[in-house]
Amino acid sequence: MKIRPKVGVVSCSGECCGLGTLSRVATRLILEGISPETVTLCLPLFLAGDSGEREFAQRFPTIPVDGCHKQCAKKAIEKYSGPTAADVDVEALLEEWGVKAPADRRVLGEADVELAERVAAEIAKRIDWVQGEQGA
Amino acid sequence: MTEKVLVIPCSGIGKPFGTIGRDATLRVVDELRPGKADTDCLSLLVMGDEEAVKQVKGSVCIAVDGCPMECARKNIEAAGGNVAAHIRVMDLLRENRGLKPREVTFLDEDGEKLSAILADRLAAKVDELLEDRR
Amino acid sequence: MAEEYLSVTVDKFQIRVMKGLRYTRDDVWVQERGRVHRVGLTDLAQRMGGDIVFVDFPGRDALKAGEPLATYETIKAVLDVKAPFDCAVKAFNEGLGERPELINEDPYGAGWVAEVAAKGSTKELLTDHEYFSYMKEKAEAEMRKLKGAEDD
Repeated sequence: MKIRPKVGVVSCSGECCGLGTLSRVATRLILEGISPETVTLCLPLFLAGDSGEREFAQRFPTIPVDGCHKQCAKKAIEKYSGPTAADVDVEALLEEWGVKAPADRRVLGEADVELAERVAAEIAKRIDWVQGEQGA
Repeated sequence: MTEKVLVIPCSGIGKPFGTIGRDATLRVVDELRPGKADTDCLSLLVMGDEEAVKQVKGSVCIAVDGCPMECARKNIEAAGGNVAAHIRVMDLLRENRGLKPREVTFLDEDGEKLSAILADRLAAKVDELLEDRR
Repeated sequence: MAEEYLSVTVDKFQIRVMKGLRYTRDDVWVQERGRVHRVGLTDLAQRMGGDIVFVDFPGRDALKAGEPLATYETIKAVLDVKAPFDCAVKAFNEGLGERPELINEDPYGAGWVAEVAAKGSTKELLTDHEYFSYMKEKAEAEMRKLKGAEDD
C-alpha cells in the first residue's frame, strides 16, 4: 500500500483581475481530481482564523497559489502557520509562457479554462515534489 | 470619501456559496453598476495592503458572505471598514427554495440563477446607498 | 472546554463527540434529563451534511425508533434526524426555523432538535466512547470516499 502524505493548497481568489479567477479554478481542478491527497484550505477562513485551516497548515506541507505578485496566500501562510512547502505564482508562470491573463475576471473562456488546466498541472508537479520530499 | 460603493465577497473556495457571491459581485461591478460599484480582494485587505485598507476606510461597503462564518463582514470590520449592508448567500438560497446550486468550480444552472438574483439585490443596494449619500 | 469532548482531526476538520451524552448509529445524540430527553445531531452528521438551509418538523407526536423527528435540507440532500427510540415528542426547537445554521454552529447546544419522552427502552443507545469509536471509522471512510482515494 502506497501512502502519499497530505498536502494543503491555499489559493487566492482575488477579484481584482482574471489572475485570481485563474488561480481559483486551477486549485479547484486539483481538488476535483488530479491529486486526491490534497486538502484545499479556504483563504478567507484561514485569514479569519476560527477553523482548522491554520492548524492543518502547521501540521502538513502547504502550497500557496497566488494570482499576482502581491502573494496574499503565501504571506498568510507564513504569517499564521509557517514556511510554505512550495509556491505557485500564476502571474510569473504566465509571463514565462508568454501568455496573457484572462480578460474577463468573471467568466473564463475556453482558452482560459485550458490555461487553468495548465496551471493546475504546475500545482500538481509541486504537490508531487513535496510528497517526494516527505518520503512517500 | 470615494464615490463608489465597495462590494467585497468572501470568495470562499469550498462551497458553491463562495463562488456565487464572487460571481454576483463581479456582475454588479463590471456589468450592472460600472462606475458606481467597485470591489477589492479581501485577502489584500486582511494582509494590510495600504491601498486596500485606504480604499475600504474611505468607502461605504457591502459585505457578501457565502456562509454563516461571515469572513467578509468580520474582516472588513476588523480593517476599520463601514459595513453598510451585509448579505449572506445562504439566506438568499432560503428565499429561493427550489434552487439547488451544487457546483463550486463553474456555476451550474441553479448557481447562475442564484448569482443573477443576488447581483440584482446588490445592485439595488448600491443604488440605495448612493442615494442615501446625496 | 476541551475536556467536554472526545475529538479526532480528519484532514482540517476537528470532529467532536460531547462527553456524557448517549448516541445512536444514526448520528443522533441524546441528553437524558429525567423523563424528557433532549435530542440533536452530532458534529459528524452536521459536518457530513454541510450547511443546513432548512429544518422541517413533520409534526407527529408519536414516533417509532428510526422514524424522522425532523428533516433537514442542505444543498446536497434532504436528510432525517431519526428518532433514537420509540418516543412521544414534547417540543421542537422552534429557533431552527429562522436559524437552521445553529445545528452547524452548535450541534450539542443551541442546535438541539427536539425534546422527547421515551416510550420504550433506551438501553440500546451507545455511550460516548462507543460512539466515538464508531464515528472515527465512519469519518475516515467518508473522507476517503469524497476524495476517491485508492490504495496502490
